[in-house]
Amino acid sequence: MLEGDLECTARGDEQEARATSEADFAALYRRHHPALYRFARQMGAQSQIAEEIVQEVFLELIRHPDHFQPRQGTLRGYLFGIGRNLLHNYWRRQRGEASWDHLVSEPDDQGRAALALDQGRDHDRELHRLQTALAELPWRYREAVVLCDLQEINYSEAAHILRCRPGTVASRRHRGYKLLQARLRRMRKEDA
Amino acid sequence: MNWLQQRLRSSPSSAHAEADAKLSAGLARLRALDQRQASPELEQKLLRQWREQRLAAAAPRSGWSFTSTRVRVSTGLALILLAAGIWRLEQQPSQAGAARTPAGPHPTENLPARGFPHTLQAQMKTARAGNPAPRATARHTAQPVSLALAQRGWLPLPDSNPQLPLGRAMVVTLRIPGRMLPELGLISMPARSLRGISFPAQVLIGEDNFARAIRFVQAREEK
Repeated sequence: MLEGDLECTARGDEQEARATSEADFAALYRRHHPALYRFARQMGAQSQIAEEIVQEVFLELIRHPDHFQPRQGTLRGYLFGIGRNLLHNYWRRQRGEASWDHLVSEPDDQGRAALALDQGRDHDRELHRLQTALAELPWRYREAVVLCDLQEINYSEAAHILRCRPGTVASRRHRGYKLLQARLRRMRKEDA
Repeated sequence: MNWLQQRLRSSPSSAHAEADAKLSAGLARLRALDQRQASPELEQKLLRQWREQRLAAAAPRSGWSFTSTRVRVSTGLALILLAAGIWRLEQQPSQAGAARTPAGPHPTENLPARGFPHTLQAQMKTARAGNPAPRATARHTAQPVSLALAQRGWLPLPDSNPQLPLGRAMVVTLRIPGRMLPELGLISMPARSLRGISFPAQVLIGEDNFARAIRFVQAREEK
């Protein structure tokens, strides 16, 4: 992307964050909330918790629109960063863990139901296995896979969200892939 | 070329790449199927919050807000000044006490040998003029020092401050002219009847070079 395009994007994000009318804010919400909600669900939050997290993210934007600095990243990255921190706090409260790197979430039954997977078909069974394996991944690798593959966020933006370097994101994603493949192989064996 | 393609396909890195591609495809399919969204009530709730926030921001702010940096700094400075004032007030009495008992060499050490009669005369002159010395204002009656002096035959002089410590007092023997006795309040006779007569006496000079008390002595004691 050219430098001029980046400046235009930053200016657009800043205007979007400082929504001056109700219609602008509604448009901002409709644009960003599905991805945020799915991110929370994919990271293991139940529907009610995911909604609360989405609500808190937008409330933060309503209360302090000046906190968003376009030079530091995109508006989407900023919102995801808040959402990630809220999820972090939520899981720490829930599990009483000092660090969330080793947190492993249970398979999301509601999520599977929402996806309406037909477990009778081989193809859908494989997707079901994939979702279960993803839910069992440690958070460190899971968030990298979720952001890069399920949310289609590039490495630099994901690095901004995860507060690390892009190389670290790539490394975690690769490691997440290996863990997923190992778990899928084990599940296939168990099913066979 | 076929041989090369077969070798590439059978290599471990190719197998890994194939597995990764398969996994990526599976994740892409998962992403496409995931259409979950938050409830519509959440949007309404947030829009209500947005309106409330806008109304609150548009409302005129009160002039005084503790969140303002200026107010915080001013309050902090005022508290510091208040604390300094209180500390100063607490220190003043002790400083006054320290001024009453200055350290250093005794004042009488630097006095000439014949200085005390002049001091006594000056005290008497002040009493004559009807302007009591400033020390007389703090005069008290029952004092342990005065009592001890009275028991030994010492008569307190007017305008001497018995509150002041005697410290390194000095006793000086001299002859006092009889005409000075009524002025010192020691006798009620008219001064002219005592003209030409002098009495041997001892004068107690305090640390402040002021005569405190007087004692009449016999002629042999004078010697």
